[in-house]
Amino acid sequence: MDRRQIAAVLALERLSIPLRLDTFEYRLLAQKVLYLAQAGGLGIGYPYSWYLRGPYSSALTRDLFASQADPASMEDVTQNWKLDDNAGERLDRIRKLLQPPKGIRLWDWSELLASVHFLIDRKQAAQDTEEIERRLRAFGKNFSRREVEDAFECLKEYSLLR
Amino acid sequence: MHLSASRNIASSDNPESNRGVVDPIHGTIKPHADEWRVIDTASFQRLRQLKQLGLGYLVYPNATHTRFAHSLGVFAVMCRILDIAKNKLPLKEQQVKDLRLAALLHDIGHYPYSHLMELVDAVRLPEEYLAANPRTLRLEATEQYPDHEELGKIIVTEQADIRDAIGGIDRAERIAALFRRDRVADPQLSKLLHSSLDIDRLDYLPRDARAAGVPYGRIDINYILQNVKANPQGVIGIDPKARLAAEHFLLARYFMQRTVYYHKTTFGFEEAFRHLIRRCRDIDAEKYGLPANGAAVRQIAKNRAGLYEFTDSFLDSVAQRALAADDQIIRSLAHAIVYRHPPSLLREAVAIFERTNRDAQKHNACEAFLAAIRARLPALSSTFNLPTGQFLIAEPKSLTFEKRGSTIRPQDSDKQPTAEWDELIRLIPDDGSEPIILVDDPGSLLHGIAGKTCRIVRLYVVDTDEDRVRRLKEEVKSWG
Repeated sequence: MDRRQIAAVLALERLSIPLRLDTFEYRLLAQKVLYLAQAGGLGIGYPYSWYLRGPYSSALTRDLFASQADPASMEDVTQNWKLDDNAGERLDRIRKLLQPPKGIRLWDWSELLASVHFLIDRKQAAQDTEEIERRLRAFGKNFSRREVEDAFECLKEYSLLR
Repeated sequence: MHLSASRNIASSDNPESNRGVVDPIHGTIKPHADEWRVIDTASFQRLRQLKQLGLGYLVYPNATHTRFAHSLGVFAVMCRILDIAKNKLPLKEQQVKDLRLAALLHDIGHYPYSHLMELVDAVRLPEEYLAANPRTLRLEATEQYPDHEELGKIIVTEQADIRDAIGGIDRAERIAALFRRDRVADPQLSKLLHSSLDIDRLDYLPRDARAAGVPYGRIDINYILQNVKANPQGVIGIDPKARLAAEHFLLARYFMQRTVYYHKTTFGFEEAFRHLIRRCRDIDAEKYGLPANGAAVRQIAKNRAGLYEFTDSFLDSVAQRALAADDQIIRSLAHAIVYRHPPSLLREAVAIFERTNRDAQKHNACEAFLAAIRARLPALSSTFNLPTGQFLIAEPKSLTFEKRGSTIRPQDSDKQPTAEWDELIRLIPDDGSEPIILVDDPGSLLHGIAGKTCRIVRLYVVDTDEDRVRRLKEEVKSWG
């Protein structure tokens, strides 16, 4: 495993997100939480682009499957590597950010947080929840205005957006 | 390969310019006048100084073709696909223009020697493999070099020459969003950019094969492009009669990777250069003229003079300076690169197995070799009186035949789409029935091998003492 793969595996472990690739929901979750971790200042190093369900990194998908197909290296990483304290603290903050409001599932919440951040950070939408909601609806998302506002406020509270 | 030097690409609706460029893969390419204004900028011309195959020319002497030629080639492929798709997809004229320009500019942010420098942060030095546990990984965002698409965005939005040629900041941001695949406004465009026909690969496979002089990448690009189709729902694919050309296209990448991109000598040189850059940067970036971190790279992309010097020769000069380093490992790595003394491959392990086979994942030749390296390399280094830093443990990315093989499982087909799912090659039947994913078709050779992955682990040594290298090879061979 290269340094980027090691970082991804350790970050997921610190966030208590299981590396389960057998369901779409967990794959989506891994994509979005690592996006948010990078947005929160961690130099994991995956390039993200926009796809139908928000920020997506095909390099990350490839690496996660490769990691899972290499159990000996996975064992080496989880047993013999650790993140520096600063990275650990940043990830602990991301873990708090990931607590979904009542009524939203974890993967939907992570998708919403990541999508709102991407839209604003990459200047695909203004800091305007109505516009963001409209953009997401174009991709078949039915997040309510309230949910978009919650995500926006959370991202600001945790300093992922200014 | 059907080549036609007389074919004009993108010229039918091009009243503004008769200026063309002859390309060995696509014939005559005739960009529009506004596209020429972009090509003629100094920021775009920099691509002439970046070799497409990095250090591949050290093995294949003719492989000196550039990102400039490849960018024009990808532009030509995009023009041909748009000619077909624009009647099937609700694309506006401005969107077509933007897609053409995005194809032209998709590699504008490449580093010197392309992926060599870009991936320097992914490298694991031997001491990191062998360090006492637990090993600490530092993850400061500012330390890492950004990917080339991020640099591309900086260049098209902040370098005045190219931004003005594009037509101003708004369009520059729109184009950057397209080649970075940030573009959110239109799902249809997003689908086209993620379509099963990888326009980048459609150019680089035949171009690299031709330049290297190997037959493996000589796909039948014209037949594939002549048979591109879009169904009424806007799904891009190919006519079933071109299925063998499509299978060849997928297999060609595997063979090109094994023979050219992962060639033992090329890969050895590139790995040695990555180690050299990391060591120089981490010890004293300023002394060797390297950007110390990602912020410094971004600064280069914003700075006019800095960008124009950020070419292959930028890294050549780093290697030259490193020849005089105090550090023995740095000196040895620099010597190998500057004087073309290839790192010697002590041993290579290759394992091809079914991706989902847990037993094969754990017990294969690569795992056994890595375990032996971890257990025995420190003693080997000591016995032969060579620092561990002169050994290179290389793990090229695992190879697959189609994206389904590495990232998508058959049972996911009815689930939510992923980018990889859309990128699978589809056959579009004439009778209007549903598109068929090539690897799902039992009549396809790919159906039988798409689930397999090919893993490679190599151990090199950088050493000019031929007798010691011979003895090292014998010793590593005896590891069993």
